[in-house]
Amino acid sequence: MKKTIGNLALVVGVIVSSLAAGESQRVSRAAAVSPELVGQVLHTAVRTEYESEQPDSLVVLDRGLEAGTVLTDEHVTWLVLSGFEEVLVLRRAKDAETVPVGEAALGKVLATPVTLSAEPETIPMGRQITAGFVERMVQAGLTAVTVSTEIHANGMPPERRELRWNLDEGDTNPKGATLVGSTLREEISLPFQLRTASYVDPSILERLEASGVSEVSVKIPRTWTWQDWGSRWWFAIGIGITVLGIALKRARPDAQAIEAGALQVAHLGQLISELESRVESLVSRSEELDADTIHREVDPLLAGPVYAIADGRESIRGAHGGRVFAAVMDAFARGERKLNRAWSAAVDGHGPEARASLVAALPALREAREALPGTHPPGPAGFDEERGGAPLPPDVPLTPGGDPWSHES
Amino acid sequence: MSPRFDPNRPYREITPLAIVLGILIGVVMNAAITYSGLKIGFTLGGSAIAAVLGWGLLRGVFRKGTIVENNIAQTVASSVNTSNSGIIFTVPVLYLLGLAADMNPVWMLAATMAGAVMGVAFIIPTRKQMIDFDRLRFPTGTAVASVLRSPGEGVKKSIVLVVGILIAGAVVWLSQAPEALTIPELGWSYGLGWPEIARDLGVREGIVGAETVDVGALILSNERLAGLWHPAFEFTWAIAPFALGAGFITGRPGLVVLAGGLLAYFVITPVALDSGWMPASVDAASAGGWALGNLNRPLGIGLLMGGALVGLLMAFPAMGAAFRSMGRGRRGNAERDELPMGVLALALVASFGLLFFAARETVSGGSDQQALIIAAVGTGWMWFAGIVIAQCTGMTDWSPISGMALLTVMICLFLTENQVLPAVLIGAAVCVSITECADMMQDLKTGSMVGGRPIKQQMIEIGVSWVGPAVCLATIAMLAAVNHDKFGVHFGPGTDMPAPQAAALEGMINTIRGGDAPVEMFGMGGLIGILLSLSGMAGLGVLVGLSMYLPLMYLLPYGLGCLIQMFVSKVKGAAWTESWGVPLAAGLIVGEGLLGIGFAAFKLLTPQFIQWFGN
Repeated sequence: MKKTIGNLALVVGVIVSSLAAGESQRVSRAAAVSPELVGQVLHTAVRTEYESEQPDSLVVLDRGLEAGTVLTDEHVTWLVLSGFEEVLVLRRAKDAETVPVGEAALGKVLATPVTLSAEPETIPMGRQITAGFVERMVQAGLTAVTVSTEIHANGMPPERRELRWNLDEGDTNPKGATLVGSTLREEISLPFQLRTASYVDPSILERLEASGVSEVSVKIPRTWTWQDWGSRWWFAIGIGITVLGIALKRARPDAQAIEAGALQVAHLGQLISELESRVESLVSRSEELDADTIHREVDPLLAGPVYAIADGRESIRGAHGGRVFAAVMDAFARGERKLNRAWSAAVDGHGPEARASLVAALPALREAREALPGTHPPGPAGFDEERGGAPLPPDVPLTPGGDPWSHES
Repeated sequence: MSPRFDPNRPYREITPLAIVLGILIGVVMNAAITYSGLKIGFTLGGSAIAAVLGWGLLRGVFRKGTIVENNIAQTVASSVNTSNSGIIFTVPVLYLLGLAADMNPVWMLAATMAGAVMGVAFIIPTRKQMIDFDRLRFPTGTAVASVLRSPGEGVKKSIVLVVGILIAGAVVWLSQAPEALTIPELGWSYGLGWPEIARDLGVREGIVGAETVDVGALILSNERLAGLWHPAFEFTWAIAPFALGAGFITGRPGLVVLAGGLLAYFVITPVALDSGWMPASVDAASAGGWALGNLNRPLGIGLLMGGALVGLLMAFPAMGAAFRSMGRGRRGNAERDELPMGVLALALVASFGLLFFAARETVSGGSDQQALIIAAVGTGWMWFAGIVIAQCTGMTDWSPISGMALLTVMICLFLTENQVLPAVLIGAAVCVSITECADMMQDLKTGSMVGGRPIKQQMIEIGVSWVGPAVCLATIAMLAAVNHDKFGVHFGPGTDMPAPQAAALEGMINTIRGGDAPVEMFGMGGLIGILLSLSGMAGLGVLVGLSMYLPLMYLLPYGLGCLIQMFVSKVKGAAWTESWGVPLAAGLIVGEGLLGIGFAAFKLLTPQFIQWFGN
């Protein structure tokens, strides 16, 4: 029960704190309708759904205000008369400003592209045309360019054609073709353009000055303060719920769970002992075994006890702690790798390597068994003599709860 | 029939043939994937393809190649290939920013090569923790082991593997062939893809794309269901057999990844849209994109880092044991398992030195002391980020290189006082390093499953990892030169190589330099990640964080794969699922990889084809 509540608290806590964190980045804020709204930018459109009885000068506002409107005295009056108490406005009324080219621009990021008239740039034929590039050509005063474009006529496969595209009289261009996405088919010269978001460093500043640019539009850096973060207490509550969930999940297991864990570990110990004895038996007969036999003998060991031990390993950590877990798994993994090598060499028909790998696996498995407290050596206690060297059944039962994801420690 | 090996000669593992073949395969894959990565923005893992190619060539053609020798060949090939994602996510940004001419290519080469070697050296001591103790699944590593073990698994299991490859191959063919095989210059046209099949089956237009199925649009088109569905819910599924296969191999633990995706795309995004947290210009269709960039990605990166930090602290005892074990050396007459600490220390010192000189040469007006600090912090970050990436890859098969690249460059910009050249240089070195970390660990997982000796894989990976950066940087330089001649710009708008990840990095660099880094979101996410990783479920913070900024369309088939595995396990038992389900899932991963690399290579060579056949 504790664990279930703990899991639930963890989920709720993470959702609440993530949402509260997300809220810190909101671009809008709720603002009471008052004269202080003047100059603010409306984030969400406002509408009225009733007939207005307002003075004539405000009738024009009957349809409401669009998002992005910079609020004036008149707008605020209309909002008051229309019964609005609160509206959503942008947190930052503007995110760009115009500054003179000089110290003020240094270290800023351009908000709009800037053309450097002193730096002509040759554009080779083959350039793909984007919307921004069209704008650049128009700004440079070009009236037409030769392009290769696809013409899509109704029901016909697209036809690629080279043509002269008029930049100033779009109507004269062929129907079914677009300039954006076409390819330039002549070399042209345009003034270089600094892209939006370019960073103004000393070298860019020099180039701006050389081109005679006197002012540029730059982005205003975002500021973030605790006070602006309306959901900070929600974040704290979310974190608190998460901590509660962790405490419940990590609560000491009850006696029943401890007993179940001990049983699992005992079962694992038995499996390790059995595996050791099976490998020991193979090693003792190894000189008589050919590669194919080793392959047949090792295959079920890997699919059976090796898989089951690996799958149930976390119960060792739960019962005996990390140090014992590391000691057992370190040795076991070495033994497992040697068994895998014996399998591979046997498949490749290399008997000596397969036998050598089996021999190397044995001490590692023994070390794993010895590292697990309370595990008996192979023999009467840990090994079913009747079964001898016969393969284990393909589906050796796995230790219940051995899945690390169900393990709570 | 498998070749049999002369038992009177030593068992073949590291051989010149395996190394040469691995390097050749790695170089070809590296160039092809670099090309496709610059076009589409993500890269393909090379291990599975290398394993299949190596298997075919070593065993089929040369009639040589033991299972462990083939493992060495794929280790070499994937090591040479893997560094491309670290480079193409970072270096092209210098071209986009117009700074490429200012970068000395020798220092870039030196730094990325140093990063590659350091990545391998750093991750080796964590092998015991990730593979022997935590037994992370590394789905692609497991898939590669399935391929390598196929000669001994019997005919039926091999058939299951091949069926998986064929299914994935057919699915990917229908996704990619129409675009790749339609070349107007040659009059080639190929039109049978998923949209056409869907149209023939009467599915409404716009639901099924070349590589996606928009289930959300399907729901919204149904009058009864539309009212229950928020228009901002993203429910587009990628047609991605590899994601399904990786999910199947991961099983139940992978479901956490789906949970994180649902939190990001089904809770945070619609709440943010409805509550007016987004600009008014953002509508339901674009809400996911805005939320990803402004909320989910920074929060997810924070969660990932916080979760990883706790995971690392908790793993210290085991890592200490690994260090002690490496220091102790061999046990009695037993062979040594790991590279000795001395070799690793030497590799680290040499690489650190290279990084220091590369930083010193690129920081303008900097001192030796500043270069030392940059190299030291870069090295420390490499270690930490490398472990994070290896853990993510091990747990899910996803490696958040792009997120790490953004964070790395951010840290480097801070260290260099906003100087882009050294920031990108160190960033590229770190990104190469962390990709090598993930690759090394994945290869070691495969090696463990086929009985390869870790020390041999470690030696060979340290020995060849530096080749990858050289190949990738040369490919980028060549493509940039060709593009500049053709389009007037190297990459980005106006070319047919948008370099999407580098463009995202460019945006991030400009944002940081403009003072807009969402540091507080990293912090909040970090706190949540720390708590999640203290919950007792290993790696929970890392997994939830990772999934918050991965595209949901890939997480959905991945989650479906996890659910299918759980269902099959319940019905048929865990051993049956492991024996029969994993080879099929491995086939799905390998099949998609094979077709993907095939199409990437084909596209790389298309201009050449046009030249040959067009005249």
